[in-house]
Amino acid sequence: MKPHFFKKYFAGPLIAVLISACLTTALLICLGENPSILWEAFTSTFFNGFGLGYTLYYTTPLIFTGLSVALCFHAGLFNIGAEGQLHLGAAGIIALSLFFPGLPWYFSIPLGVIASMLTGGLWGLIAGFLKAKRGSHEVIVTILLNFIGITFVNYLILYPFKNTQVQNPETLEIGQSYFLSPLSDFTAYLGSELFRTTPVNVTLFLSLFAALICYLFLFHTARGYEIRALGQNPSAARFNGISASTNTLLVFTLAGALSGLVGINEVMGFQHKLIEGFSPQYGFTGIAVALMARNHPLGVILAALLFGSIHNGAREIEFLSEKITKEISIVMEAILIIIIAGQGYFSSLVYRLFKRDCHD
Amino acid sequence: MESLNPEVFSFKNITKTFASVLANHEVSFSVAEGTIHGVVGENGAGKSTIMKILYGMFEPDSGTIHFQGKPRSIPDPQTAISLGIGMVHQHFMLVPTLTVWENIILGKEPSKWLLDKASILKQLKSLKTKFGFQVDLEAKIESLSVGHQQQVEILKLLYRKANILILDEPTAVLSPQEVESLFEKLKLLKKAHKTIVIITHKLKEILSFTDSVTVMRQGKAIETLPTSSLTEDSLAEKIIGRKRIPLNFEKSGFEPEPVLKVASLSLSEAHNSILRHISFEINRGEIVGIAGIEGNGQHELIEVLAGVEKNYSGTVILNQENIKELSAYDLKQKGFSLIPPDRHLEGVILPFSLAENAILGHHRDPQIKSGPFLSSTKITQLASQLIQSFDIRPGEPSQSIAGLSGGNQQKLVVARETAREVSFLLAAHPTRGIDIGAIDFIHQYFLKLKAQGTAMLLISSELEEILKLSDRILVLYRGEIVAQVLKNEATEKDLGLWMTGGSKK
Repeated sequence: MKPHFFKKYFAGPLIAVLISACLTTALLICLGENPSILWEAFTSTFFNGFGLGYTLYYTTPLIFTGLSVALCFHAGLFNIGAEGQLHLGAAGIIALSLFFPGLPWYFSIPLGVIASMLTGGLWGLIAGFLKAKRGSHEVIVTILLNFIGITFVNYLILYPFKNTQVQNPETLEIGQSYFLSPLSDFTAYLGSELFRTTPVNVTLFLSLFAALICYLFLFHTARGYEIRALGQNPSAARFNGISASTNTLLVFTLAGALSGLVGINEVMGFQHKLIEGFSPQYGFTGIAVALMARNHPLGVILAALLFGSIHNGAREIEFLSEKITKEISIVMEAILIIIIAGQGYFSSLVYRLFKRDCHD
Repeated sequence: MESLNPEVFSFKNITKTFASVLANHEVSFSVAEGTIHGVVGENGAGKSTIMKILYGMFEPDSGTIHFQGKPRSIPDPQTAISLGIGMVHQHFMLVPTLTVWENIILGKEPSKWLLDKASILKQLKSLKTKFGFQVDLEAKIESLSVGHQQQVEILKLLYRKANILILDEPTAVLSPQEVESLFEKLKLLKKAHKTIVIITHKLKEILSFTDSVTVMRQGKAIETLPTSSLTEDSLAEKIIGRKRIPLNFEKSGFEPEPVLKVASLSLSEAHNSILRHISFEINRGEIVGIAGIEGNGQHELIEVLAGVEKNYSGTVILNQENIKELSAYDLKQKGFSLIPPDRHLEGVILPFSLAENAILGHHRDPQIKSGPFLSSTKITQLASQLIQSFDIRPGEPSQSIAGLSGGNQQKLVVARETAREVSFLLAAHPTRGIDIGAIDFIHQYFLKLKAQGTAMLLISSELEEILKLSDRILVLYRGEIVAQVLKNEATEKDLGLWMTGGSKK
């Protein structure tokens, strides 16, 4: 790896993580907590099979939503609607399974994937349509569609799809043939205890595959070229026959489909049903993931891993500490986002600090 | 002659660097009092920088400014103004919603509390009459023409008792008549012993209006000499630092065969008619120029011809095909090429690499694909070909195009747009803001295309360019073609008159 490659892609995020760690440590001290639990919690998210399993389980949906947001960013569009799109995607799988519970696995699994992409994609398409044909601002539209989408899915959970046998707001279970294997099945087969009792499942590979496809699509196809051209210079795109409306529709549909895939991880991979409030704001964290990855699909994988580990680490902190709850993750993510968003400003500060050294 | 006048200021070995770019290197020259002095050079030659140093906007890294014979440091514009130095920037610094007199006194109000409008107006009126300004003091800036706004900027300096007036590219936005009237005023100012420095890249203005000239090239002041000793060619050679290649007009012996037929084209936006009944034809191997001040419908005409504006009435036929049904992309595949008016806005995508920019508009071409993917080898190959044949520097296909000079970026646009068979080329401001070397190259290339049979529509705000290249000239004024002349019947004076709405002969 060439040194300037590292500097270009990794130095900024790494500094951001370090600053964020320092500030969180300071915060823990202020709250009268021993800051060493921070270290303890985060080493456990990577360095034991159980912790790593959960980290990867949280990473999977963040890859999907991160890609969803990043794809839109490339076209110069803000997708704040991943949260609503992923709710619809999850509901799509439940609906499919309720109608066809007994499909053999070689139908149910691909159809499940398609269903989540279709319903999520449809939700994205609405935003794309309003933007492309009516000129509505996509930020407003996607925020509002979140409210509608999440409420609609909650209605489905509480009424038509409700499991009346239980008190909890959750749907009936999906058919057995829809279940995806947890990775612990594979490691157990190999005689290893890695990932034992953790929910990380084969959807992880689907998410990695999705990132690869997004990368190839954006950087190695004519359509991807059009999308990037549109995002970087809409007038040049227009004069060269790149349609803003077609590409907006396409990008929002694809973004919705990517967000919809979150449902696979949650429903087919782990819970096997849909529980109200199942998403700890994966859609919004996806914005931070895309920002940190500078919208590069492969960078999204690493950024999602970071945010997945923060999320998991915060649960660990809650477990270790009497005072701190898992919401500390929101604070840490917020600090990270501020630092990354302000990177231009911060790097000019750093530049001024070291200006004299930089002269030669 | 002018040497009789005492020197008012001079630069001694001024050097200024920005980051790693050497903007001025050991610049030394002096300007005599009561003269019109031109500072001329290509873009990036450092001419604006050196004058901004005089105006206190930049501090030199080394070297000194001598003002009235004594070394003087000018750390900020306030100091410059107190010494009687004033500058009119290329982009005017006026508040559009305020009136003329309000803009003039802005920042130098005679009193902090109550404004005595009557006495201010009286003072300004005497200034106006003294130097022959016609601007209405009570008018709002937004209602004024660019020429009048410029007058306001100059009045602003005179109100601040400036004795040295620096004008940065003052004629870039003016019609020929406005240029005339500007220089008449400058002559009056000169008579009143004011010193005027004009930064420009237009040779003609230098030759006809200045007393002495400093030629700058690559950050250095090459020479300062009296204008009377120069000709257009000798000045151009000093600016580019080598001999100029004369344009080679080849005969194009094509039968008149229309490539583009525009009939009764009209366009309105929000009840304003932007284009009115425009009709013209362009034949094979013919260059038709459209003269006109910007904002008279050129942009909309380009949009219609490029296939991005479809809400027009009338017909546009390209190679026997009505373009109404064709998208912008289809048009490009059918022999239409566009050099868009604004390089950064429409011509290139700045964050993209040279190679990525080289395929814009032809990015769906199967020739650059392998399977479903774009082939980066084939794209790089294509880009390298363009880079080589147009001598684009630096010529690394994977480099971001933002790192290239304007001339080189424009060369890439021209190269890309003409890499295929072009039956109709629409060139809008093809040489705006680029250096003389690149201009000569592009002009020569256009003539080569013409000789090969390309029909060309040239839209430019530079009359000189239009007169030089076109076979026929149409004048666009308020969306209408108000005049049509053949090349050898056209004079700059007539065109200027028509462009500003003067009556036809």
